Amino acid sequence: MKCVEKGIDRRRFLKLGAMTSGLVVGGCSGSEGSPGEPAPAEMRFRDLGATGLKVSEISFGSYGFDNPALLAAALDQGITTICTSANYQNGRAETSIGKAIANLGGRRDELVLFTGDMFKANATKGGVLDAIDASLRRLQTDHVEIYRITNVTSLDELRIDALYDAFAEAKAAGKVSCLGLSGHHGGMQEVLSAAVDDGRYKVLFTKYDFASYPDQDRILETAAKKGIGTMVFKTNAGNRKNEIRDLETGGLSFRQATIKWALSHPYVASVCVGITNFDEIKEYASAVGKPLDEAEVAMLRRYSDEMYDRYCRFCGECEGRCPNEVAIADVNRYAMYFKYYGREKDSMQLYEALGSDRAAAACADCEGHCDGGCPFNRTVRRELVEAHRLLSFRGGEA
Amino acid sequence: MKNALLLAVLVSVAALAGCGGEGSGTAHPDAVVEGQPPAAPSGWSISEGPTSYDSETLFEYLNGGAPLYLDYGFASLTQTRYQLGDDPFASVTLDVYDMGSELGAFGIYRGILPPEPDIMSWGAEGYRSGTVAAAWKGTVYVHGEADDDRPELVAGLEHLMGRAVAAIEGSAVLPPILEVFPRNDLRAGSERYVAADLFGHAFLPGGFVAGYQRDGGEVELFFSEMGSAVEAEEALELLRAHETEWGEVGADIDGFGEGGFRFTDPGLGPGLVVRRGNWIAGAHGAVESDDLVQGLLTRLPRD
Repeated sequence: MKCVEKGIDRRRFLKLGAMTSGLVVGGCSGSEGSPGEPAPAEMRFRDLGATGLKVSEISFGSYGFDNPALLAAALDQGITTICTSANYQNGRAETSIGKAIANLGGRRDELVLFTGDMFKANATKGGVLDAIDASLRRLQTDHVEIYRITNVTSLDELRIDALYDAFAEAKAAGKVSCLGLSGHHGGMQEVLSAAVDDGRYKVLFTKYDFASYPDQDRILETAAKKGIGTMVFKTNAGNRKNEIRDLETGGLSFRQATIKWALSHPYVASVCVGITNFDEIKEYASAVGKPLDEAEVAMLRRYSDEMYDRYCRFCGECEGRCPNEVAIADVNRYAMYFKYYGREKDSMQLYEALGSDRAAAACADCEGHCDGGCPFNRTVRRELVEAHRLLSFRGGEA
Repeated sequence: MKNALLLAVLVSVAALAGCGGEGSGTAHPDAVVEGQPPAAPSGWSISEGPTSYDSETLFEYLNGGAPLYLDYGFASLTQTRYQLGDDPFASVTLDVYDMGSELGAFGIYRGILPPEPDIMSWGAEGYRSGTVAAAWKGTVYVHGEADDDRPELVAGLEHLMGRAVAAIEGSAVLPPILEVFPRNDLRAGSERYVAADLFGHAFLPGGFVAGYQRDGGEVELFFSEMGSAVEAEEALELLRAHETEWGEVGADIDGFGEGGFRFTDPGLGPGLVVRRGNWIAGAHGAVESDDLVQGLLTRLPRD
């Protein structure tokens, strides 16, 4: 278990290394050149699982999108997959896309539209149907290819009978084609796995980068075997590139490299990137069809090395190893509040509310089973001892 | 329009001041920004949080929305979830954003303002639209959302919004720069601050826009301040190059400003743009005369 978890990133970079030798990872369709040859700078398309949809390798993320001409320009670059949501700017993003669609005429058929909304576990069928209709009105279209439940954080929000019933009715009416879900919180592995097992979700839309979520490769592989398509976002691992001096020297683009990295995964159909200006369209589109070169691999490796263990992702992966059932993610979060947010009193109260059975009092005398459990190689026990000292009214006492 | 807004602000401040004695749970000024949310009203409890986010962790909460908030100067967020009674599906989520500046708070508020909201007397500006509410005051933007539209939840939402905004210190007037927009035909509440990529152009570092209702249709006026006259000149040339590639470039403008030209943009429609010193200004839409742009140029601050 330990070797597998810690080996994930090493394996990923070995994969990157292989690609620099000209190995093109399979799973994509479109205009592929011979291995080793640079691909032409034109958009490529991939099957979105078994949905029957072909999505552009770059998808248009529409939050903050404020000029309909941007979408037309993206379409000209072959970016035909458009991701939005009713809750993006209170519907403004959908409205802007709708204005663009109204000017596209017959080109609407070129688009794969991907929208959705947030629904609570007590959502009603009527409420979901109303939300779908409202999105279609704003988008000025009579159907969307993918409708997703967004911001899923727990299994309760995944299994909403009213959503399934409403989706089936909307699908029968030709308003939606595929049901998807999206989420980006720590602990998404559990939700994604449950969605894959459930079978009703045909598209996953999830965070995916070269420095996080060690279980995701396995989950996405399982999803692919079931015909579930995967689109990804947040490929830039926190986008803290500006904290690393000269990271992009020599004309390198960190964003392009992270897109190329994500597209190297055979189960990723498309990378969704936020697009707010014309320059970004060209920058991102030109990442398509070109494998990572050695300089880009070195850049990602450097980023990963320098950022890798700087922060706790609160993923909870290490908690299963703790013989004392310490709430490690929560303790680390409270310590963060104490150290970086100036919330000393508040964080100490939160820590006290955890209860002695979940606090980190026992960590000082523990062997540190958690140290081997962090997928990001953090020295967990030492941090917990420090956190307990900070957060406990009685210092290090048990 | 400004007078009306100022009046609304004064009324709201007076109303909130009148509700000042809200009991022992009232947060002290700016406490809500420092991670201390308003106390739960009677019958309610805090079910989650307060949870804080900074610029590094905002993505975990807002996902694709985070870059927009960062563009507007996001500094921190405190999120708290309040629950009515024992029903876990009867909650209100309150998000208090420190946007770092009044312009940032105003910008994000107007930038995601839904169509036809119910205007509320909260802070500098506030609204409720169904189960969503928002307001800004000083450097703080407050966003609230109820689980659904049950009257008791909407009432709780409004109560918490009012208390949160009342606890914020800072100015409750619109940014003074908006006064440069000519008053005639200005659509009330249409002024926006765009923090970056005005009209999708990376070479425009943000700017201001406002809508006008004229006899011939709607016109949007815009202006952007560049770092220097040289940068403004370069930006104008980049805009000309963009319209040459994507739209159409029309006649040069000689009568006012410098380096101006007319264009037809595939997304913005017909328009014109000129430079004056560090400033770039223009209009697009149903532009039948140049008087709005000329009026704007005369009101822009001197370099």
